[in-house]
Amino acid sequence: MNYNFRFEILLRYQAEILQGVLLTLQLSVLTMVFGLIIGLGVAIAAGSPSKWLSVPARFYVETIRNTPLLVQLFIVFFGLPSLGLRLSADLAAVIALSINMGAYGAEILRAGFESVRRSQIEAGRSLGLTAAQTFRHVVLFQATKAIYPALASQFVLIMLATCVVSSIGVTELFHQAAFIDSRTYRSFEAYTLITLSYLILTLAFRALFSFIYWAVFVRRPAR
Amino acid sequence: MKHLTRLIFAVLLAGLFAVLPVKAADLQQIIKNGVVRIGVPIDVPPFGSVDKNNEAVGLDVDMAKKIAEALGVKLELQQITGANRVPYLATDKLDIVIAAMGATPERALQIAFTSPYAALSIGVFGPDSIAVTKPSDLTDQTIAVARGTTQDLELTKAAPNAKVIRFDDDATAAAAFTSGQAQLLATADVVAKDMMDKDPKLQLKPKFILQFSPCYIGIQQASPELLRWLDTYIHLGLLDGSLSALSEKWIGTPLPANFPSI
Repeated sequence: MNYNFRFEILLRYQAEILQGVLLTLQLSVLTMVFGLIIGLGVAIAAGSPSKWLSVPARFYVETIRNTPLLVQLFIVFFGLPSLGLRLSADLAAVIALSINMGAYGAEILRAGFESVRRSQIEAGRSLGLTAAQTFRHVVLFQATKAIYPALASQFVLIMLATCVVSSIGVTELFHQAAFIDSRTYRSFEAYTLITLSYLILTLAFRALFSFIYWAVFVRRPAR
Repeated sequence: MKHLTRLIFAVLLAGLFAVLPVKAADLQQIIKNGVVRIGVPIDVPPFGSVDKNNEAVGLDVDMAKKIAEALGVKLELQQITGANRVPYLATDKLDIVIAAMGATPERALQIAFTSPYAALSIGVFGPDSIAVTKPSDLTDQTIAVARGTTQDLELTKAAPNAKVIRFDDDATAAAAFTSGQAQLLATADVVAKDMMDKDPKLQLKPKFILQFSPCYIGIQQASPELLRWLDTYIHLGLLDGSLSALSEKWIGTPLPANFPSI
């Protein structure tokens, strides 16, 4: 092997890399928040007795989970302008990622809701709680605790998936590495650096999620 | 007796031609033969391609026809590829090669180049409504470009503060322009022309040129008369605007005012 590693070249691109890390973080957090909101709504709709709610919700979940994220992204960014809806690359990225995360989140949440025994819901109702109150106090807390690890892992997956949006020109971490590569031809150095960056981000997120789990479910005794 | 002498003379002459090494057909020889052998590409649109009727069409084909017409001889078109265009000349299978060819010092050791007759350029293209004529005019217009290409590097150099969106490849950059996600597109002029041909609603007018690569006609070495004649022909074509019109017809952009010559 005759390759001279020149990591110092990357120093010139500090600003780009930092900006990439920040944008990846922003995209990830926004996607997690909006994805979870969409997922919760869809999971409730999918479990609803009304066909008008459950069928479209199932349709959404199956369509998104069985098509590539890149295709969904291209539809939002390149397809919607034909219908008169033109979104900036950053906004299109958040929307496409949130829609994708929403489908997976809904599926995980639905599994959580189903894990709560029917007898518990009946107990809640017989104690005089309304359906909504039963959902909030009996189902949601227990369900969330049951599926928390799966949800946390989905969050990490979607954070790693944000690199896909580089293909519509969003200047997140992967885009910056490809940019540096195209200017310096230092592929190994550029991609090694972002591999480490993603690793650090992932580990940081996992630590944060573990802390939240501890703070919400362990420290506070389950009611 | 007279017949016999003629016959012997003819046989001797034929034998003489058979053993003589191939010699370049210079201008007088071509005119005497009444035919000029010109190689054109058929795999490099818009310079040369095959139309619906299986006939070669393109800028280089038009150029070949015009040259044969101006020489007053019959045209013998030969379809060539990028790999065999120099060998075809070097082995005297062709008199002239018109194949969107760029000149290099290495190629010029094998064949002779005339002055350029056309050029491929890369630049920034967009609709009339955007008033940009030079890199410094760029303000908040978004320009789509394929990352790492010559147009990307040249555009970044010419306009470091422009709002450039970089995509993975030319197709995605073009999609960003056609879907309106970018107002301008940095690409090759032939690509811009091709996009407009496919979708007449698109407006991809040249805003400014980033880099340009002239195309040269190649001929065999040791044919100075033909070289001089072709250079003269190209010179006159530049003066009367016919070469520029040819470029506009096939490439979509006229030749620039300060078009170079050898």
